Amino acid sequence: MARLAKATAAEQRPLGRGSRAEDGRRPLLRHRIAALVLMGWLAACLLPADVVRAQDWQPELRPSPSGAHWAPNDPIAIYLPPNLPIEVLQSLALELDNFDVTSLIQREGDLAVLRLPEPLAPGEHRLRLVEYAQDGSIIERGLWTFEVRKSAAFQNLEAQANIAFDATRILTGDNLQGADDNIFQSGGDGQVVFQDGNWQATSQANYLYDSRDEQSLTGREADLGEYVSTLTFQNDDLRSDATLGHHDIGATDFIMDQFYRRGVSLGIGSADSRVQVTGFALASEALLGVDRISGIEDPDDRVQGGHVRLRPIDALRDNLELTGTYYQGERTAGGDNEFVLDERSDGNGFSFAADSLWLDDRLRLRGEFARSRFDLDSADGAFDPETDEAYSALASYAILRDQPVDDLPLNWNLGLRHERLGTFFGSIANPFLVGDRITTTLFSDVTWDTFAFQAQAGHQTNNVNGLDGLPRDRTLNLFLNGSYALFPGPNDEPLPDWVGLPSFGLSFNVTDVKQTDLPPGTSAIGDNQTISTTASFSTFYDTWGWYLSETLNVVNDKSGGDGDTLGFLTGLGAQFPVGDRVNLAPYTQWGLDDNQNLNETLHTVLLGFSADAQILPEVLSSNVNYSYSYSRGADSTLDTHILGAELLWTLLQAEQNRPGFGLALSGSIQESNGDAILDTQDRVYQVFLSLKTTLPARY
Amino acid sequence: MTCPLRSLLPGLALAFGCVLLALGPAAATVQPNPSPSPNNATVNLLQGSSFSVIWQVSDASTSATRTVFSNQGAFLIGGAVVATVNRRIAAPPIPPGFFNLNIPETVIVPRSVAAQAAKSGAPLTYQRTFGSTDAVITEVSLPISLAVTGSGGDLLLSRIELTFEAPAEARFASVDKDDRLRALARVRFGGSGLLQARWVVADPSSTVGRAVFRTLQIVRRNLPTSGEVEILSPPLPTGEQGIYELRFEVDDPEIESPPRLLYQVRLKTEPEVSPDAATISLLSPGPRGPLDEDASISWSAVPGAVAYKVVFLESLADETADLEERARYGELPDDPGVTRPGETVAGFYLPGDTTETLVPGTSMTRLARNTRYYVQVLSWGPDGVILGRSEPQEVLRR
Repeated sequence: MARLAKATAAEQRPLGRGSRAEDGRRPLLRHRIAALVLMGWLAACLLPADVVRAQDWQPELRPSPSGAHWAPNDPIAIYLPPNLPIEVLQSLALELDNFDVTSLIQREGDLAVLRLPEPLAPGEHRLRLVEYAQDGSIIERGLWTFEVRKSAAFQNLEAQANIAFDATRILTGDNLQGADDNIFQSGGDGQVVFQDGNWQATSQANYLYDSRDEQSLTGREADLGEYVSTLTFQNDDLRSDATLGHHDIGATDFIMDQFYRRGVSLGIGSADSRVQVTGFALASEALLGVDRISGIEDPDDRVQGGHVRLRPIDALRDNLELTGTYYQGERTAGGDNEFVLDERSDGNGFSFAADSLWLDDRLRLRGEFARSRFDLDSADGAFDPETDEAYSALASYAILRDQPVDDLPLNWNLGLRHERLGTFFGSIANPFLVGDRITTTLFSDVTWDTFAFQAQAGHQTNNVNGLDGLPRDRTLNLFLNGSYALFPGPNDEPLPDWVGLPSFGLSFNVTDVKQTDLPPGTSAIGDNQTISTTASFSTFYDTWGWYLSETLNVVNDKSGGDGDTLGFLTGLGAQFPVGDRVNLAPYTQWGLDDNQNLNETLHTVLLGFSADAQILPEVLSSNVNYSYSYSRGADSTLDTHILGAELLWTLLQAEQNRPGFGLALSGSIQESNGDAILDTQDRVYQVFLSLKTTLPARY
Repeated sequence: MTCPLRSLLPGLALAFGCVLLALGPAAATVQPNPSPSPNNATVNLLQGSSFSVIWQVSDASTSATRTVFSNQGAFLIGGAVVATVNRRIAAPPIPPGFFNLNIPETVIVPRSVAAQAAKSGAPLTYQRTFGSTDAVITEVSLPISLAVTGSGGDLLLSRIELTFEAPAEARFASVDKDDRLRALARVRFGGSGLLQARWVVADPSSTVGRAVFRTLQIVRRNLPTSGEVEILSPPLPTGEQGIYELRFEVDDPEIESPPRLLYQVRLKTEPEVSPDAATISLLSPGPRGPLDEDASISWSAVPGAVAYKVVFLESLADETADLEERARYGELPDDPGVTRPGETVAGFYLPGDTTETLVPGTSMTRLARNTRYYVQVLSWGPDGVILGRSEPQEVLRR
């Protein structure tokens, strides 16, 4: 629906008669612009006796100089009748795509010639000649689309890559038993775009190499990271996409949401986006590396299905959208580099949703219904699959939209959302969805210049299916969040220097959970109230700034379980220059967590800074970071000091298609000391010399 | 979580052992203490759960060195076994004599087990049977009572995925030195409680040898009821060329292995706009100033310019520009840090001898009233080289 909303902002301002452009814009402005540009042309035009009547003439776009195709640097020539009245010539404007290029027009014979200072990008372009009429309206005199090609053989071919390679020698160090003295690392990414006619192909990928396989992405010294290739066909009627690699097909519903996985999808639809059908097969979990290169080789770890997006009524194409998703699949294990505590499962499900904008796009109504069949231990497990349903309804209304208040736009949106997810509702393609809840939420969103305020109040119950062995919890939640940046306008009194440019933030969240129904023979174990609030402040001066934040977390345990807890977390940081060449950013956090029931207190401290220095600008630079952290109390940790530094001598800065080289001396030292509880000590230091190479290549 | 009964258990065990010894010489006698610690736990219906338990077992034998062990655990609903855990746990070998043994175990409770217990309403227990490798084996069972909950119970994490914020959802990033980069942790959780975690990073000055992780930020977040939460990392360091390793370390509740991301930083490429390019000063309108049909746009001249381009860009809410990020990157005072420039909306070209203009009607009609935009001025030389450009500055279209 975001696209619908976006379209209303950007596209609902047509330039034809009756648009906002006709609101009596000053002829002076138009004439000044047009006159400035067309002065040379007019000076050369002798007004003939048989002046063309203003409403009869037609401009003509001349073919490209080469005759075959437009090249990026080709001038663009338009033929205008030589005997146009001067008042018409003074009121013309030329637009290329969204840019007014009137002032760049030069007269060459009978032609108005446009030469841009920059090359045109390959692809379709739109050229429009308009005339401002005496009554303030805009008359479109000519509209042309033309294609710019890089060569006769293809419209566009671009390739670029950024590759880095480091060769490192360990100079000294301890605790590096078994480490190789020489270490090689490389990484990079690349992209290729090919365009011709109705076809476009794009491909991008990245990789990582480390001569020590234990430090690599996947346990293999050199391996692919993520990649995606897309082939697109589009003409006046049809658009089709075939995608292989890591991507998200864009479904956002109960069945599938933010599901960015490796796999295959094929989409086909109308060019006007009224119909879009996508079939997909994707890996169930995140994958990296060349193993399972397509993502769909393993049927036990794959989901497949389809997604449909319709705008069925032409007159409501920007106001009504219907979507549907179906999936079926299995999951056996977690993905690369993530933490998953789930057993294998399989399932299928579908979702239908309708999203719409009404009343001048102020009222949004959305409804969704979904059904899932979810087997918690997969088909070969002991337990049967569960079928369940979910639905949601949303209504929101823009009470104020761009309402000028003190010359600044005020927006206020108010809404109500209700959703019900059955106890066993679930989907492998929406792994973060948590089922078993009936939630009603009232929300409000206000923005006014740099002031923003969100409020949300919700009521939730669970044990939706009324299971005998499950308690029912009632949850009440209130969330408030506000921010304000004090930024005086040009006509306001300036703030005192010591204030800088301050920003404020405040958030407050209170949640109350109570178990209202308990299984026989059990007692409440989850009654609690949690309160979280964070206040933050920052301010910036000409060259430096600082910030402060304070967070309070309170848990009132009402059922005598883990006990009440109280926690504070304070953050303080700054960033400022030291002299002309050094930038310093110190920071600290200190926290206190107190479990009043167990009489345990945990103190946590973090201190650190990062600094970068341009010792010899563009040639010699350094980077230093330091941190000191510890926890004392219930779960003590070691006092840990970590210092890392790099001194980089840039031998040659990289340019497009020219490698860059640098020589770096780097190292780190970590020292950990125990306290009375943890009587251990550990120190690691290591120093390296590296030749660093980077190559940005582009075609 | 630490149970207050725990401090009493050694004393009880000792007393229990004394009683056993007083009963006379024992053959191999594996005996439970009064209960495992803890003897109850909560499991979540909505996701897989885990809990930690210390099995406290006494063994008294004078005959031989032996090992106390358990080969299998079992989940029981209403006394009937519904699932088994085929994992052996054991204490280190012990010599003849009386010993109190603590054998720890982390038990993962399949969601399917919790679901069946919730449906049936019958009690759910987990038990293990212990034996000894001594000649005579006495088996004892120790049950743990498990309460199934929906949103209540102790906080547990069942899924954490790390991705980069931009490129969105990517799990590996390759960026230029000093580029902005952040990561996002999506966390699915059950129960409620305080999440204690840290963003930690190993810089290239250590990943090239032995990775040393320094804490970037301490995270404390109250997670009040089962659901999902997204936690944005602080700005990630990108000051050194090489490979960084980022982890989201969770201290409480404990998880087995922290998720991680690798990212690579490379030496900066010389920008397409030469460092020699002039910085154009936008003279009017002022920062966040009004823009209407009467307002002129003016800027400082760039010697040798053959053309200027004035560009209007969308003004987007910048959710990532929080206080810490602004401090880290030293945002300019002109930038209030709550918006950022987006896509180009409109623009126009002017000859190189112009430094002041009104906005042409064709461009003005593309700008919605009472809306903020960014305006930027660029200049070109005769050979198509960018000679200068201004910083994007926010204006209000009235």
